[in-house]
Amino acid sequence: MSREARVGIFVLLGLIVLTFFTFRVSKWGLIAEKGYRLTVDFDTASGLEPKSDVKMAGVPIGKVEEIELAGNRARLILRIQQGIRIPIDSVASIQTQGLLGEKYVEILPGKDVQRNLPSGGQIANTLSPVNLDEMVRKLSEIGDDVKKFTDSLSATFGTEEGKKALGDILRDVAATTASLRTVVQGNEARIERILANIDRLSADLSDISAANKEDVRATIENLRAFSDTLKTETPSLVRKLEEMSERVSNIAGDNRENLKESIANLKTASARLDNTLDSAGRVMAKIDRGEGTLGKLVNDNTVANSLTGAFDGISRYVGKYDALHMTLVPWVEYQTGTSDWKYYLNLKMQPTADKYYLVGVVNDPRGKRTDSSSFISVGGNPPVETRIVNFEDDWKFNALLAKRFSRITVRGGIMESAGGLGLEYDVVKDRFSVGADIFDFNRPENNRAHLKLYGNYDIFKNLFITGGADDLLNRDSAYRTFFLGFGIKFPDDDLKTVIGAVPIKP
Amino acid sequence: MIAIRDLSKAFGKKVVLDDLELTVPRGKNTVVIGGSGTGKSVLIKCAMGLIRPDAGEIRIDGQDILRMDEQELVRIRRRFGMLFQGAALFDSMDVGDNVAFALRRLKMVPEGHIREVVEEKLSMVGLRDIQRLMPAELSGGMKKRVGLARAIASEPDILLYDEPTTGLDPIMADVINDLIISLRETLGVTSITITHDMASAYKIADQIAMLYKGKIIEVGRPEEIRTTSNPVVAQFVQGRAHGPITDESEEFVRFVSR
Amino acid sequence: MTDSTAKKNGALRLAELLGERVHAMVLDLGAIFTLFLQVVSSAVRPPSEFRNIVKQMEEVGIRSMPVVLVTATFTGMVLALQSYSGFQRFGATSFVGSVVALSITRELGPVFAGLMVSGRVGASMAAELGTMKVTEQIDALITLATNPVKYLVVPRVVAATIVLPILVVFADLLGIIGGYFVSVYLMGANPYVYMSKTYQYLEFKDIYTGLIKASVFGMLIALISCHHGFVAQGGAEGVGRATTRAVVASSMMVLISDYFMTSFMF
Ligand SMILES: Nc1ncnc2c1ncn2[C@@H]1O[C@H](COP(=O)(O)OP(=O)(O)O)[C@@H](O)[C@H]1O
Ligand SMILES: [Mg+2]
Repeated sequence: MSREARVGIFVLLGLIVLTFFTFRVSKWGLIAEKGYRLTVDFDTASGLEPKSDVKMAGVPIGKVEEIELAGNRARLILRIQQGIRIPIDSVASIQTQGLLGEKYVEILPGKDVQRNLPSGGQIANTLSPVNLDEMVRKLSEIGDDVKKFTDSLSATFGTEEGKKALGDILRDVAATTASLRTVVQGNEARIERILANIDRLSADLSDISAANKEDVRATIENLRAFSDTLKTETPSLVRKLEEMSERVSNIAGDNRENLKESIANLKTASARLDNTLDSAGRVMAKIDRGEGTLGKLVNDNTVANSLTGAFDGISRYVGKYDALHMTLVPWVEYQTGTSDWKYYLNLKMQPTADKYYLVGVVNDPRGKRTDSSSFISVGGNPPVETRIVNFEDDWKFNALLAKRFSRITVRGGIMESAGGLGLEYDVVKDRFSVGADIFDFNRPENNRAHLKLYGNYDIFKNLFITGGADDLLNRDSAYRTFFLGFGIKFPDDDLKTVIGAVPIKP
Repeated sequence: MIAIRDLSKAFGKKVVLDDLELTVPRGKNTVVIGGSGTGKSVLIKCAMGLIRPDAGEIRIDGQDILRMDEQELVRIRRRFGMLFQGAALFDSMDVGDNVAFALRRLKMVPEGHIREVVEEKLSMVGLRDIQRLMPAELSGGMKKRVGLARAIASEPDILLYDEPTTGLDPIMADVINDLIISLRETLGVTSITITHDMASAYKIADQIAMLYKGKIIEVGRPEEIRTTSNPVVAQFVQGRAHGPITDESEEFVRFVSR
Repeated sequence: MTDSTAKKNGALRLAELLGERVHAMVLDLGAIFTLFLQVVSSAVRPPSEFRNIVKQMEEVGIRSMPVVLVTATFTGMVLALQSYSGFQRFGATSFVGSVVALSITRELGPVFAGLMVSGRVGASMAAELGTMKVTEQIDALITLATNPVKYLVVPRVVAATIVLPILVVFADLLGIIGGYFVSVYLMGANPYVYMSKTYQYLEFKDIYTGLIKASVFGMLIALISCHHGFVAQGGAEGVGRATTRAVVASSMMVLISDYFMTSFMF
């Protein structure tokens, strides 16, 4: 081969490779010109770049061709491959892949498959660039967990033994309520007399005179007599309560095997659930060690005793007003932002239908923050200072006063150990409510107040799920989070049962 | 005619040529003699425009080459041919391409005739059938003759020979002497020849010039130089170890008289 | 002599030496620039140096292919290896393709090709021209009515300017293939993802700026090496010195000019 031929081939090959590159990479490539264009507007296109992927159901269907500013929003021009149909009601969102956040545009296809977006059309529906995928995934995980939980519950009570135990419980409860009724019935006449006396008293008080003094004296006498009667009745009431609690703990004892089995089921069910149980275990451990209100309740006999006394008093009060419903409401919220759980235990005391008091404790996974820095050296490079922000959970308390106007409830007081206000709206009465709490207005470093938006939905009478966004206004994104959770409402009767059933340490 | 006036050249502190005067008549052969390292090669390189002197003028038919621009210089150089002391063959080319270089460059001969012409020039210097050989395959004497063939290939009218016969056997040396004479006689070539070989000098020279200490100290016809009264020239042409040239250096004298 | 004066003298001598070096460098730069102007002005004049250019293209291009391609392949491979293990810490291994492609086309392809050609071709140019200088072949050219700049330097500069971008195109390809090989076969990357990432962030600008750089490198290498060959003096030793200088100067010039071109072009 001549020198000229060799050099010619060399140059030609070089040009061929260059041409290949040109077509593979450039905008003038033939491939890029194919397909049609769509536009879509987002509040922010941060992280997206020309040539970023456009995907539908995870499958690349095009590229972002241009990014420009339209007004003060970001307008993307997408180049969609020929033959891909996009329903007119499709939703576009900016998604993140991987940890480092390579962004792409995901199109969730709409239902209206008859009408597709034309070339040059605009995708009108967009979702702000939250991590939708992630949220859906977590939701379904939680759903799975809940399902597993209920599964194991039904497994526990689905057995013959379980059914029998349940039957026993119900029978006991029936007996208890029956005897309670007799207690109340036995005093019916007296209560009626007292009320009559009080009635009379109030009538007489308006016209106080020496002549009436005798009547007042008689009334007071009557009252004394009433309390004396109560005093004699009380021991028997306490005895009955004791009997009841004994029975309940026996039932729990009989079903110990079932409980163990269900715990085993729960453990094997999923790793995620294990974590949940772990944290539940942590709470239990805290309770055991006497931390927190519930812990004190459980571990301190005097507290338990005085509580019993309080319940006594309350039952009297109840007898009088037939009101003050008490509900103990524990719930947990799974925070997507922190991947951690927030625990709540509130006691709701409702004297009248239009107002209630609420006291309780909150365990916040981001309650305590410690900033530290350390020097880390990677692969022989000079050490780099790394700031480490460490969060620890912390206990906070609530004490609120709430007033209801029709469907709207306004509440205020101490929220998570800080002053705050809240507003709640019953969308479906006693079933579904949404609300907002704002509190902690004096946060350090000029941070904005803590805003929590939530919605609660009662699945059953006593079981509800909750969801929303917590600490939305925080300047630090580490705190902003969505959450999802569930809780149980223990009304006063059950409360007594539960407290009675928890073994009281000597 | 080449007229060199007041030519001076120094390399750093070392003065090689010092107000040198020399007239080279047209169609004649001027032989420059002188000791090794006296600046003979520098002199003809100046004449060729390869070395730029510090001062003076070099007139070729009245035109001073030192005041020419590059294009004029290129044009005047076409009239020159030069044989280098070390032959200076292009060692990336074979003998044929070396000899044909100027012919091709200046397109003087059609490509089809090149081999013929080259063979003819090579035969003039007593060589044949060596066109395909590379310079590295030649002996020193052969290189010199190829260099000569290359210098005369484009038929220049001024030829500068730097020691054309050095390193050749006596017979070949005489062939070259005859060639130089015949070039002068048949083509009327003006030439400057540098040599130490006095036999050759006497044979080919129309005039002989002696270079000593940067100057031409004597110019004359061969007979005049042979019978010169200048002791320096006499010592050189007679090839004596003792004389004014060598007395200059005491050390050398001591070494020679031991 | 006291200690302090000795020190002072030492410092002075050092300063002098440095001054001389800088002076020599400035002279060299001036001479190289002059040579460049001569190349430009003589390149356009007849006769055409086409055959010489083709010859030099073979010399600079085809004969440099093996060394440039091996270098590029291994550069791509080591780049993939390094960025893979680095990116693994962030879970961003899908970017390895982009990193390899961008680094090779924008920077490493042209620079390594430039350095390899500096070493291989720069040395041979300086040695060849230096030898021609000390054996008076360059003078001989002049006596044969040939401008040595036009005859020797123009073909080398033109060939290197044309050929280096072509070498870099091959280097880009081989570098990307090398990176692909390591990522896919050694690190278990997904081949489709790797290739799509390779081209996703690669723009034609990345490639052609690399090629422009390569062209300039080629021109500089040829000019510098020819210059050092032209000024060689004093036999074999001088030729050796010229060769060393040519390689050092052209390698340095590749990196220095790379910085300035990069800062202007991107
Ligand atoms: N390019 C050069 N640089 C420095 N010195 C040179 C150069 N060319 C020649 N010389 C010096 O000039 C003097 C004359 O050299 P030259 O003309 O070659 O001698 P000769 O008479 O033997 O041909 C020598 O001493 C040589 O060292
Ligand atoms: Mg000489």
